[in-house]
Parts: sequence; structure tokens; C-alpha cells
Amino acid sequence: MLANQRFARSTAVFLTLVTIAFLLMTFDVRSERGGITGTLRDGAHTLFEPVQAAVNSVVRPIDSSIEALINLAGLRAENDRLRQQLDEATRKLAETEVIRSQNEVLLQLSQLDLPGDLLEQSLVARVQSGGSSNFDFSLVLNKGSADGLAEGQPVVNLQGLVGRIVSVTSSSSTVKLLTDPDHAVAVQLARSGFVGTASGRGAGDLKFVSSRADGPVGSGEVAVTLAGRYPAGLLVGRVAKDAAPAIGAGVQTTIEPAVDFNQLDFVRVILFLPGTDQTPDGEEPAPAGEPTP
Amino acid sequence: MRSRFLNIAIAVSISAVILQTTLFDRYVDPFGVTADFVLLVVVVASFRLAEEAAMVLGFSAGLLNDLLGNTLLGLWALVLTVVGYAAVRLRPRIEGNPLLTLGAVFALTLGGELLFAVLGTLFGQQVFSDVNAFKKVLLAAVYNLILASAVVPFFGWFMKPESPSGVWA
Repeated sequence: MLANQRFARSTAVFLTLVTIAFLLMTFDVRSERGGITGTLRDGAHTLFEPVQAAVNSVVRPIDSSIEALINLAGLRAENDRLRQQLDEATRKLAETEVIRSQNEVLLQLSQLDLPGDLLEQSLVARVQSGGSSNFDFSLVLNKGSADGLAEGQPVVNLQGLVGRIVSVTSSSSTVKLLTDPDHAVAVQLARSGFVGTASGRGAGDLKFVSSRADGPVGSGEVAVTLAGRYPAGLLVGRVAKDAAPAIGAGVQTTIEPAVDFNQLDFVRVILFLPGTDQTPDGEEPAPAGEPTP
Repeated sequence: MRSRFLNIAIAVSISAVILQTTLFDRYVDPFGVTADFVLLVVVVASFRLAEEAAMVLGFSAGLLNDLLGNTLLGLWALVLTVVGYAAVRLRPRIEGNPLLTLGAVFALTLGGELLFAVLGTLFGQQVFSDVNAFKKVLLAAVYNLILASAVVPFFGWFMKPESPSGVWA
């Protein structure tokens, strides 16, 4: 009797929680991640951002030190008698190396070669945390609406286009990466001029489809963004495989992203309003120049 | 004493979500795949908690995971509720056997990740569009299996198994 009561109670709790979860999902889908669910997310990000930043500040130097020590492992055999001195030097070097490389990246980001005057209409942000699972292709930046960031703004780094902002709180923002299967970007191939879409596949190369292409596409061809959701001329990647047009289907191939998504630390957010081809202060970006190196 | 177990489990779960979004996602991802540390913590804690507490823990940890990530709100909450419930149901069969416990962690991680992928796809998350979806599911289960050898004793040290009446009885 008691066992039956306990089973009934646990079943009721289970069904209640499952129902709440289903309702939340349905609500989140219907509100397109805005409304109350968006407010809840913003609140959670604001609440946990200092904790995540603190954890990062502890983990980052440790990770850098470990990497530095691993890289030196091959030299240890022939430098055995110097090991102690080397370890000491490596530890010190790892500490300064982090600062030096960050300064280098920041300096390069400040001189980033962006089309038109986009560099002036952009700001540097730091990656605060990553996605919450293997199927979450997002990053959280340490800047938000208080710094002028808004949904839809493109994010780049030294290598090229990283993704775009999909949600913003006052002090942080979430970036959807190019590799997200739910993400597609209109691109133009620089050599052949074909236009098409490059969509994420979770990892590795992007899928490129151009229904209007009527000629072959060669590997190594540079793909840049078309004006619209993104400003024109941002480097997306390079065509990974040769492809010929199929009758009635255009050209399908893959694009190797220019960005290494595992090495993101500092990025630059372009304060660009999607669809308007204008930066927030109303200035027209100049025509696309050479793609970002 | 019993509510202390639940408090510990919730505190560890919050820490797990923070570690998942910082340490694991950014720095510990061999072959481009991370362990599902939150799921692991929910499974192992559920081996020590009563049914209701395990489900509430799974739901709370999942909801926080959804809030701090970019997944659909409620998706991880649903998956981890089911995983917590399943872990409690499995407990009588594995209790006292470390090998079976590790096997259960592997199976529940695999099941949880697959459930996430299926539900995510049904709700438009495009999970199966990920070319590495199955590799990620499998490797996450393997990583959780490896991490479990440290996490299980940790929970064993903090929390003795609950009596059949459970935390909220």
C-alpha cells in the first residue's frame, strides 16, 4: 500500500516536471526565444556572468601553462640537466606568454582589415563562456547592450566571420557560430562570382549550395558574405572541393571556414544593423574591398 | 540530514553547469567533443537520492543548463528529469557493484544524449543535421564513463545512499 502511494507520488512528480518542460519548450518556440523565456535567459546570464568570468580567470592561465608544458615535452630528453631551470622558465614564460599573446591579438584586432569603415563601427569583446553541450554552437561575449551590441550584429576575428549575435543582455551577448546547423549565410565566391548559401553542419566544413551557378567551382576559391544579414565582403572561408554544376541543381560543395572555432578568445563585433546595409549611425558602408586576411 | 544531501546535490549541479560552460566547453574537448558533465552529476547524484529529489535535481540542473546555453528552454530540463528518474530506477540493480555503476553511467549518458538529439530535432533544433552527431553522443558517453571513476567516489564520500523512504519521505 505504502509502495503504491510512493509510486503514485513519484509518477505524479515525474509527469508534472515533464509537462512543465514541454510547456517551456513550446512557449520558447512560439515566442521565438523572446518574451518571458528571453527575460529568464537574460537574468540567468546576468546572474552567472561574474561566476563564469571568475572561473575563466582561474582556468585560463592553468590551461595555458599546461599547453606550454606539453609543447616542451619533446625537448626534455636532450635538455635533461636543464630541466629544473627550464620548468621554472616555462612557468614564468607561460604567465607572460598569455598576456603577450592577448596583447598581440588585441593589437591585430584593432588594425583588422574590414570592408569600408566597418572597423570604426565595431568593438572588441572577449569570449566569456561556450555552449552548454556538444549540440550548442554558441559563445557568450563579455559585452552587451550597454556597450551598443544588438541582436543580428556580425562577429569576426582575425581569420574571418565567426557568427552573429542572437541574444543580448546589458552586460553579455550570445553568438551563434557559423557551424550551427541552424545557421546559413549568403555568400559570393570571389573568383567565379557565383552566389549561394553556406550553412553550418555542426562541425568541419560548411555546406555550399548555389542553385544559379552554371559553371564549375574550384577548390581554394574565396567565399565572402553578401550584403543583407551581414555586411558585404567578410571572409567566410575557402571552397574545399572542386564541383561541377548538376542539371537543375546548380552547384553543391563545401567551404572550409576561415575561423578556427576552437581558438576563440577575443573577437570584434561589428555594430551593423542587418538588412539595412547601414551601421547604427546611419552611415553607408563602403563597397566590399578585399576579403579580410 | 536528508535535505542536506539534496542541498549538496543542487550546489554540485550548479557548479557542474558553470564548469560545463567554461572549463569543459572551452578547454577540455578532446577530438572536439566535451564530456556532458551536468548529465554525469545528475546521474551519479540520482544514485544517492530518492525518486522525487532526483527528478527535481535533474529538472533544475537541466533548466539552468538551458538558461546559460543557447538550447531550447526546457529541453535539457526534460532530458535530465527522465535521466534522473531512470537512474533511481536502475539503482537497486547496480548498488554495490562498481562495474555495473560505470556501465549504468555510460548507458544513461548515451540514452540522455540520444533523447536530447531526438527531442531537439522534433522541436526544430537541427541536432541530427550535425555531421558529428553520433560521434558526439558516443564520445560524450565514453568521457562520462572515464570521469565517473572520480565523480562516483566523490558523491559516495559526501552522501551515503538514501533509505528506501527517500529524501522527501
